[in-house]
Amino acid sequence: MRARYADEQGHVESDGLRIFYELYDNDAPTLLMMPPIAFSHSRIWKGAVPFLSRHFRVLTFDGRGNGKSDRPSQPSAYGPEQFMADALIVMDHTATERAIVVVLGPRAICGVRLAVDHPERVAGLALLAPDLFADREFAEAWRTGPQDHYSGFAAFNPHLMRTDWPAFLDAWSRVMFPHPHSSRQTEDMIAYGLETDGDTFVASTRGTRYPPRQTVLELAARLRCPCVVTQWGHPMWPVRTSDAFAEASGSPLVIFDGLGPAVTSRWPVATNLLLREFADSIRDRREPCYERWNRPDVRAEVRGLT
Amino acid sequence: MVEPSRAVAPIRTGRVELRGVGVAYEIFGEGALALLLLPPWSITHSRFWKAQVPYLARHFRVVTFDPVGNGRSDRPTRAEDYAVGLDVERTLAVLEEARVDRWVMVAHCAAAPLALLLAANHAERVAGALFMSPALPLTPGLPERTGIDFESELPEYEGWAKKNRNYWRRDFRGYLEFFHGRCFTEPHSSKQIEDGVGWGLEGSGETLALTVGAPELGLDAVHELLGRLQCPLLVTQGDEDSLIPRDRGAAFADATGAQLVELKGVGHCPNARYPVYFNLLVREFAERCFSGTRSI
Repeated sequence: MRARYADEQGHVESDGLRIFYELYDNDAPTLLMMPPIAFSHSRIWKGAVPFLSRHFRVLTFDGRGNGKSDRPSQPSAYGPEQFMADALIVMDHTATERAIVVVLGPRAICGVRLAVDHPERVAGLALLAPDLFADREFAEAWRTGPQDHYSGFAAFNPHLMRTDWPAFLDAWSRVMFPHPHSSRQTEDMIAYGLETDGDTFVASTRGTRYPPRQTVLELAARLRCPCVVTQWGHPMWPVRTSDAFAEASGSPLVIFDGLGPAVTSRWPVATNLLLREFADSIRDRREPCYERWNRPDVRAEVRGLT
Repeated sequence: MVEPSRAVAPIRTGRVELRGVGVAYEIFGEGALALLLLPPWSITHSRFWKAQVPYLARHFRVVTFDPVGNGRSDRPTRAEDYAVGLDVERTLAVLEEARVDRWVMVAHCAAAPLALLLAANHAERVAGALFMSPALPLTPGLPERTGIDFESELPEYEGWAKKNRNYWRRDFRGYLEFFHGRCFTEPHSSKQIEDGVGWGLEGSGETLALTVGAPELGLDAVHELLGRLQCPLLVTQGDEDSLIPRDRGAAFADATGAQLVELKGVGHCPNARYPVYFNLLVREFAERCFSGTRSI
């Protein structure tokens, strides 16, 4: 059961692969929700789509590697260019001239490239907990060999992913959802993860190809559309992985202190209100105001806006 | 531990005093039509309705109050102060303060006798009543909840044997955790259980024990009252309710002609576990009850 069903859905062909998309129609600007990391798929936006589609036209698609899209086995099929191409084909197919692009975590670079390389198609860019640089806290785990025991960041290990994919998902769900009352989100994450497999995930991660930090910051400086960067103030993705991008692009940085890392799933209202404000401000050609979610348990610290 | 935050603040809060016992109430929303959400039992308080108030307050004036023995209401130490007849007077006093002449009410479980007395004896003022898993002796109770010895020291306190004065004195939290575990048998209910235990701990075992000894409505009185109900009625019953037997809702509907809403795969508290569904049901029912009515 869903709170809102798509008005149109189907597959497009990109690079010989079938890519599944869903369109929630509305006579309003389009939000393009980019696919997340390949252990998840477009249903990661289940807490966002029913709300956002009341206000906007919402377009989602399953990234190659999971969901109802194909699962190529070579890392070269998972570069930012490929995701960008998939997004443009989905946009063309749905007659979406321009969209506000929303992108999460390690796929953030795909949204950045889309906005910089195709400025005529991107009206705005929302980076949610972007993971833009290779110096991530768990990069070490990715490079180490087989271990006797995996927990915490150490679980982000290709050997574990390939030999015991469910064990990886179980261990990583504990990293993603450390807060109480996350049983539903944990169950969803594992279920979406089990729709793909460890070999596909390892290939997709190898294909992500994090550009050097300097390249990312140069891309940030070339951004011409409105942009907002959010971060969760959580040790997993420290603010420093986002503040440099926000500064280089002249964008506000909204920090949801103490939450996360999976705020979009675990605190969807906070994300939804932020995205609505971002999209409304673009449509109404005004400055956004991100101060309104200062609740005792969700402190939004805003930097970069006067 | 963060401070709790609320999606909507009351437009007014206050207390009514009756025979030396104070009851705290809250009023939400500016609607012209009134919804009264009764407290189910002193094991919890008005925050039981936390998932209803923000939505329903957009459409109605919503009145809630804390039961004696919990929340911000007083905790009298005599069992007779917990009699349902006094709850009727307190409820009417709260409605007086809220300037509500006519209302639709929602009664969960043990609030059923109170709602029944209000609807039968103040028929001209009650526009409709929605009962959820009514705690009325219309069908036999669940076997595991029958014949519980509340007073004696027992060799062990497993399952519903925890409903025992001595166990409550020693480990009230243990009872609250058990009780709310039975209230919320659906997966992903950890927050609802935590809330329920927290609200329960605002009261105490000693206080709650007074409600167990309070005078109850007998079966004859219940049938007499049911026979006099005139307002539109709706009853909900989950088929996985672990406190009230699943045939109770149908028995209530048979006795009263109430609309019966049987909820598949749902436990004791659909308001907390399926709030969107439940809120739409309450709104639709209340609007139907008030159709043709212009104001309070």
